[in-house]
Amino acid sequence: MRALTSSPRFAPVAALACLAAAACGEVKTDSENFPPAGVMEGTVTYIGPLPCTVRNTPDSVHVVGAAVMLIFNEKLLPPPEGFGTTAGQVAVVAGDELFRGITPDLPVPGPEVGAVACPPAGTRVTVSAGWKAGPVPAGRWQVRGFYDYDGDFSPLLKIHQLPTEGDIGGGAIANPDEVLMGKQVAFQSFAVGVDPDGTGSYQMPSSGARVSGIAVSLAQPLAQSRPVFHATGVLDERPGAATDVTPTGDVTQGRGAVTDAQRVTLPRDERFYIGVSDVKYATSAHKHFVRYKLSPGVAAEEQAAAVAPPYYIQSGDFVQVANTDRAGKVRGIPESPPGLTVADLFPQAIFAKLDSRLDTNQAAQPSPAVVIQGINLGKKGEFSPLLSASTKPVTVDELTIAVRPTAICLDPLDSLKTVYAITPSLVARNGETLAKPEEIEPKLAAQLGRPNVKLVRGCLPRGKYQLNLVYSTGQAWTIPNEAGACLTHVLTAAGTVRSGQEQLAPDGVCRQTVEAGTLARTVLSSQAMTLTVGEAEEDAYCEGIQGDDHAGLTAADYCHGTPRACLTALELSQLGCK
Amino acid sequence: MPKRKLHSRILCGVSVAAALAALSSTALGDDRTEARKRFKSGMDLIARGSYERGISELKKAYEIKPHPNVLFNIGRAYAESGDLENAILAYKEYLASGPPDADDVQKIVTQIQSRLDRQKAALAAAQGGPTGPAAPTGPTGPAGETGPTGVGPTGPATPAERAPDKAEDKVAIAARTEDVFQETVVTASRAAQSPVDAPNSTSIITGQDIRLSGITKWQELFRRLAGVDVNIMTGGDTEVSIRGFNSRLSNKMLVLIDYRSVYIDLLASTFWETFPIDVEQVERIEVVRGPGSALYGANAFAGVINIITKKPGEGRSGFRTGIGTNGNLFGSVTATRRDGEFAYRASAGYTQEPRWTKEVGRGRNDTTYFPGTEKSPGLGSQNSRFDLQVTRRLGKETELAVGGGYASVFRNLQGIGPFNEYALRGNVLDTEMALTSKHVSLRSFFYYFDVMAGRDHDYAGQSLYLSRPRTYVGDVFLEYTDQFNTGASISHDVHVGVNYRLKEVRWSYLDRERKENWIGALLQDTIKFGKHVSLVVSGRADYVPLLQKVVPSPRGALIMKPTDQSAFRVSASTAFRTPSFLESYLDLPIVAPTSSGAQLNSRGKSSPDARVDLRRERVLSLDAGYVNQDSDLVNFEVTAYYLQVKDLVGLVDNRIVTPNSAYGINGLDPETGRYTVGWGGFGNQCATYHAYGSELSTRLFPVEGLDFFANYTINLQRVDIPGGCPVVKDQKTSKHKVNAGVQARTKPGIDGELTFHYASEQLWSEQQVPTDGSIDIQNRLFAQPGYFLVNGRVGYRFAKDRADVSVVGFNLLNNQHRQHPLGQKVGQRIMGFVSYKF
Repeated sequence: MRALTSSPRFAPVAALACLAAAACGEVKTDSENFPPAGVMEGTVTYIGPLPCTVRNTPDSVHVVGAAVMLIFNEKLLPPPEGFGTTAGQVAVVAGDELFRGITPDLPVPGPEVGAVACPPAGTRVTVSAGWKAGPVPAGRWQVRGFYDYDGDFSPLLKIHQLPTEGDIGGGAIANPDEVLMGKQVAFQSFAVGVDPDGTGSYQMPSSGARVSGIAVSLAQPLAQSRPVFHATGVLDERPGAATDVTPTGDVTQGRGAVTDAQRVTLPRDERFYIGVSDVKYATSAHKHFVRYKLSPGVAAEEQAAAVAPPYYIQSGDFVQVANTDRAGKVRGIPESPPGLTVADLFPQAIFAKLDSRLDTNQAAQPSPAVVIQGINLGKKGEFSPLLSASTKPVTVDELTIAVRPTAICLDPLDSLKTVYAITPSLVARNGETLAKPEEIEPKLAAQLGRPNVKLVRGCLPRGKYQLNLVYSTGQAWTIPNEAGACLTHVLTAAGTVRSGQEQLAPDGVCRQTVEAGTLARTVLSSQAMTLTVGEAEEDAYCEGIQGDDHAGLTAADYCHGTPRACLTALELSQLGCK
Repeated sequence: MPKRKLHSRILCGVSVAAALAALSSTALGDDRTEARKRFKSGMDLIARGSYERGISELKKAYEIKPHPNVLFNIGRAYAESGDLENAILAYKEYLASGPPDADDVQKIVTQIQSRLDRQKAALAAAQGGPTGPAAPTGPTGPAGETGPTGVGPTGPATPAERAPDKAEDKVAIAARTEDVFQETVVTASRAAQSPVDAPNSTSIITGQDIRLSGITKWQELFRRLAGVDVNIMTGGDTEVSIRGFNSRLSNKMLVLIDYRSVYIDLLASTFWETFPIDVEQVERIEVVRGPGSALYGANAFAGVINIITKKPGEGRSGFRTGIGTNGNLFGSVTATRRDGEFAYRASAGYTQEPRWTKEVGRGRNDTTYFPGTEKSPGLGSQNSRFDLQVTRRLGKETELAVGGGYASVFRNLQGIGPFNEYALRGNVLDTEMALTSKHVSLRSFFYYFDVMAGRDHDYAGQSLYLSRPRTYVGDVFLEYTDQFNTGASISHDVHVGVNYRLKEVRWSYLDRERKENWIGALLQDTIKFGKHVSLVVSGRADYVPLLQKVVPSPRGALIMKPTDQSAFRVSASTAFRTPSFLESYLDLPIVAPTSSGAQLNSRGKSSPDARVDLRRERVLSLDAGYVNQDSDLVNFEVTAYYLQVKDLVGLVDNRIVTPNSAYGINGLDPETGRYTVGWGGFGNQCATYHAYGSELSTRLFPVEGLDFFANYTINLQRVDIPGGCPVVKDQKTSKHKVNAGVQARTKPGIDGELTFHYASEQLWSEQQVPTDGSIDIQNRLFAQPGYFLVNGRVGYRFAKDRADVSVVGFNLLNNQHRQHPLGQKVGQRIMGFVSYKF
C-alpha cells in the first residue's frame, strides 16, 4: 500500500480497481415488517330468504346485511367447543355484492332516507360470491359464518358479534348431509402453513400460504335469539359452619354473605363442609353453592334503552335443552357435585377470568385461560339428574346457575400442556372425600379434548370473572359487556393502557366526542355484573398448600396456595412469586 | 460483517484517500477559488500598470473557469495598454458570448478599430506608404494556436512591438471590477448577493461539488451541508429537511427550480424523483436555512432549496451516462446553444435506482402487488425526462424565457401511517414562462401531476388502495424591484410582488374534487447604511383558502460587516405550513390490518361541508451567525438558532368506536363491504417544540489542489406537553451530525472527492401496523441508532477535459444500517460513469 500511495500515478488506479471490485449484492428481502402469512379464500353460498333493502341516501339503496365469515383457530374455538372468544380473522361479503346478480328481484324501499323494505315471507334464493381473508397465522382453522340478515353485526363489539334470531347460519361444513338429517354441525378443518413434525405446531413457509376453494354454505336460519340475560338475584345458603349442616347433608343455616348479584365474591379457599353419605343430599346439595338467578334480556327499567341505538339488543326466553352425544344420550357434567351425576344443560354457563390488567376491560384473560364452571340448574334451581333432562328444547323464563368452586387453568394454544383443574379441597371439612382425581380427570380430558388433565388441590385464582351463557348453536351472551360501562380506558394490543373516548357522566350516560358532535348512550348496569374470587377466609389454609402428590406438584409450583400454572406473569410478579 | 471483508473495505477507503492525498502536490485547487485568486491578482496588476502580467493572470482565471467578464477585462487591459489588435480580439470573443451589453461593447470595438485604423494610417504615412484604409487586423498567431481567449498563445505582444505608446492611443474603459468568481446567491433575498450579505444562513452546492462528488441523486447532494437532514427511506425515497422535523414525506421545506415551486401540495412533499431535469443541467443549488415564508409564502417552513439551472446557451452540450450495481442506471444528454438573442437548452435523461431492500419478494402466495412491479421487484425509482428551455432577449435588459418539462416516473416510497411501502407510476408535466426586465418581472408556471398510486403490496384480502391522484397548479408572480437612495449613505433595494396560485386536486383518497385559489403579496426592503450595516425587512401576506384567513409572515435581519467578506447576522422570522390536501380533505377507509372485514375511517377533521378546523403549522425562528470569507485559505460560518414550533399536523391515534358505533358511524360500509370500527386522520398536535442548535461550517484551501470541508451540527429539543396531551416525545433528527470531505483536482486530469458523514441516534414516534392481532393502528416509539457513511468518487478527465470517466461509491465501507426505523436497510452502491462535452 505504501508503494502504491507513494506514487501518484498508481494510487488512483489502485483506488479505481478497488472500487470496481466492491460487492455487487442483490437487493435483499427484509421481511421484518411484512412476515409471510396465510390467506383463506373461497365461495360463500347463501340459501335463504331474499334480503331486506334500505335507502341510505335519496339516490342509493343497499342490501341490508352481509355474509360474515368468522375464522377460528381450532385451539381457540368459541364455546361450547372451546374457550376462544375472538375470531382470528373476519371476512365479509357485503349484501350488495352477494345479491348483485338478482338485484331486480330485491324489494324496493320507500323514497325517504332510512326506509327499509323486506320481502314477503317464504321467498328463497340461492346466490354465491367469492370471499377472501388474510392475513391468517399458521395453524388449523375453521370457518364459521352467517348472513347478518338484520344488519346488526359488528366485528368490534362483542354484543354485536354473533348471529341473532333470523340470521342465516352456516360455515365450511364437513357433514352437510348429516346436518340435513338433524345432526350437529361439524366444521371442516383447514391447515394454513405446514406442520413439519406432525405435532400440530404449524409454521408459515417463507412464501406464505394460500388455502383456496373453501366452500361456505349459509343455509341454516337461526330460530332463537342469543341468550341475553341479567341477574335478578343471588342465593347464598352455604353453611357457615359444620353445625349448619345436618349429618344427612341438609343445610340448617346459611352464611348469607352474598346478597348482591352485581358483587358476588367467593373466597378463594371456598370449601364444602360435608361429603355425601345420605340420599337427602341430592335434594339439598344446591344449597352448598352460590347460585345466580338469571332472567332473559336486560333489567325491566333498561329495556327501552336496550332496544334502541346503539344496542339493538334482541332477547327472548331462554331455550333449554340437554347436551347430548351423537347417539342422543344426555351428557353429564364431568365434575358434577359430589355424589351426583348432573345433566349438562344448554345454555351452558362458564365463568372466565377477566384480563386483570385493566379494571374496566371486558376481555377474558388470554393465557392462561382460567374458567370456573357454572352449572345450569334450570328454572327449578336444583340439580337435574340425567334422566330428567329434556332432550327437546323448552323455553324457560328463568335460570339458576350454580358456581362450582373449581377452576380450570389451561394454555389455549398448547394442547399438550397439562390442564389443571384446581379445587381448594378434595376433602370436605368433615373429612369426607369429595372427589377422586382418577375418576374425574378422564372425564375432563374427554370434555376439553386435552390429553393431560390433573385435578389438584389449590386455592382459586383471585380476580374478576365474566359469565357466559352459550347455546349449542354457538350463540352466546356475556356479562360484563360493552353495554355495562363506558370505555374510559382501552387496553392496546401492545399491553399498554390508553385513554378511551367515552366519559361517564353523573347521570349514568357515556358521552363521546366524534366528528359529528357528541354521542351519548345510557349505561345498562345490569350488563356490568362480575363474579369476584377474593381473599381466603383462612389465609393459613391456602398458604398451607405445599404441593400435590397426585399431580406431582411441589411447593415451588405454588404461589400462595395457587398453582403457578393458573397465574399470569404479571400476577406472579405482583404476588411476589418470581 | 466478516473481519476480512471489513478490512478490505477499510483498505478501499484508505487507498482512495491516499490516492487523493498523494496527488494533491500536483493538484489544482478548487476551481472557483483559484479562478477568483487569479482574477483578483490580475486586476491588481493591471491597476498598477503591469498589464502583461495582469493579462496573463486573467487568462489563467478564464482558463480555469470561463466567464465573459474576464474577457471584457482582458480586452480592456489590452486597450488600456495600447495593444488595440488584441483588445479587439478579446472584445469580439466577449461579444460572441452574447452579453446583454453587446451594443455598448460593439461601439467600443468600433471606436478601437477606428483608432487602430488611424494608427496604421499614421504609421504608413510615417513610413511613406499609402494613406488608405488599414488592412484588416487578425490574431497575432495562426488560428489554431490561439489560447482559450483567442488572443494568442503567449500573451500580448509588448507595446514596443506595436504602435507607439502614446497617451492618445490608449482607450479608457471602465473596468468590470466586480468579483465574478465570488459565490452568489439569489434565494435568500430574491436578488443576487454574496452569501455574506444574505439575511439567512445560506450554503451553495456548486457545479464543481456536483461534478467532483459524482452524485446524481438530488437529495444526496445535501448530506454534506450543516443543518440538513437526509434520510434514506427506500430506493426511491430520500427525505430532506432542515434543522430537524424530518418525516416520512418530509413537508417543512420548499424546493424551487429556478424559483418554480416543486412542492406537491397534494401530499405536502417534494418528489425529487419526478423532476424533469437532472444534476447535469445545474449551475448551483442554494440552500437557505431558516424560514422563508416572508418571501415564498406557505410551506417555506424550515428552509428553502433553490436549484439554479444553467441558462440556455451557457456551458457545453454533452452527455453523461453511468451504470452501477443492482441496476443503477443514469443517462443524461444536454444540448445548449446561443444564437444572438436566442438561446436554448434541451435535455433528456433516464435514471433508474434500485431498492435497498425488498419488504417482500415477489411471487409470495399470500400477497398482491402494485401493478407492474412483479417483473421488477428491485426497482426503487425510474425517471425518463425531457426538458426544453428557450430564452430570447427583447432589449437591453429584457428577456423572455419559456420552457417546459416532462417526466415519466415510477417511485417506491415510504408512505405515512400504516402505508409503509407505497408506489406510484405516472406522468409529471410543467411549463414555465418568465419575462424579466430591469424593474419588473413576470413569472408563471403550470404544473400537472397524474399518477397511479397505491401500496406496494398487501396481504390478499386486504387492499392496495389503488388510486389515481391528479393535481395541477397554475401560478403567476409579478414583481417590481428598484434601487434608490434616501440619503448620502442610505440605499434601498425594494421588492414588491403579488402572487396568484390555483390548485386543483382529484383523488379518491379525498372527500371530493378540491380547488383552491391562493393570493399573496410581498414587500421587502434591503436598507444599507453605508458599507457596513444593512437591514433587511421582509413580509408576505397570504390568503390561505383552507384556513379562510390571511396569514402574515414577517422577517427582519440585521447584517453588520466588519469587512467586505465577513458579517455578523441576526434575524427573526415566522413561517407556516398549511395542511396539505391529504391532511385537510382525507376521506379514506383503511382496512384494519388484522381483520379483512373491518375498516378505520381516516378523515380530515372535516365538518359537514368539509371545511376543516386544522390549523397551520407555525414556526418562530431566531437566528444569529457569523460568516467569514476574508481569507483565501479558509472560510467559516457559525450559526446559532432557536425554533419554536406549534400546531404540528400529524396522524392522530386511531379512535376505536365504542358501543356508540351504531349511531351511524359503525355498520357496514356498502361501498367497501367492510365494517367501520374506528376512525383516524390528521390533527394538530398539542405540544410546543423548542428546537435550538448550532451549525459550524468551514472550508479550507490549504494548498493548491486540495479543498477540505467540514461541518458540525448540534440540534437539541425540548417539548412542552400540556396535561392530557397525548403526544409522544421523540426527536426526528440527530443531536449530533458531522460531515467532512476532501476534494482534489490534478493537472494529469485525475480528480475526485471523499466524504464522511455521521449522524447520531434518532427517536421516532411512528404509527405502525400491529402484528399481534389488534385491529387498531398505534403510535410506537422507535430508537434509530446512529450511523456513518463514507462516499467517494475518482475520475479521470482527458481529451482536453472534454471527456471524463469516473467511479462513484456510496457507503464504501458497506455499513449496513437504516436511516429511519421503517426505512429500508441501506448498503453499498457503486457506479461507473462516462461523460463527454462537445
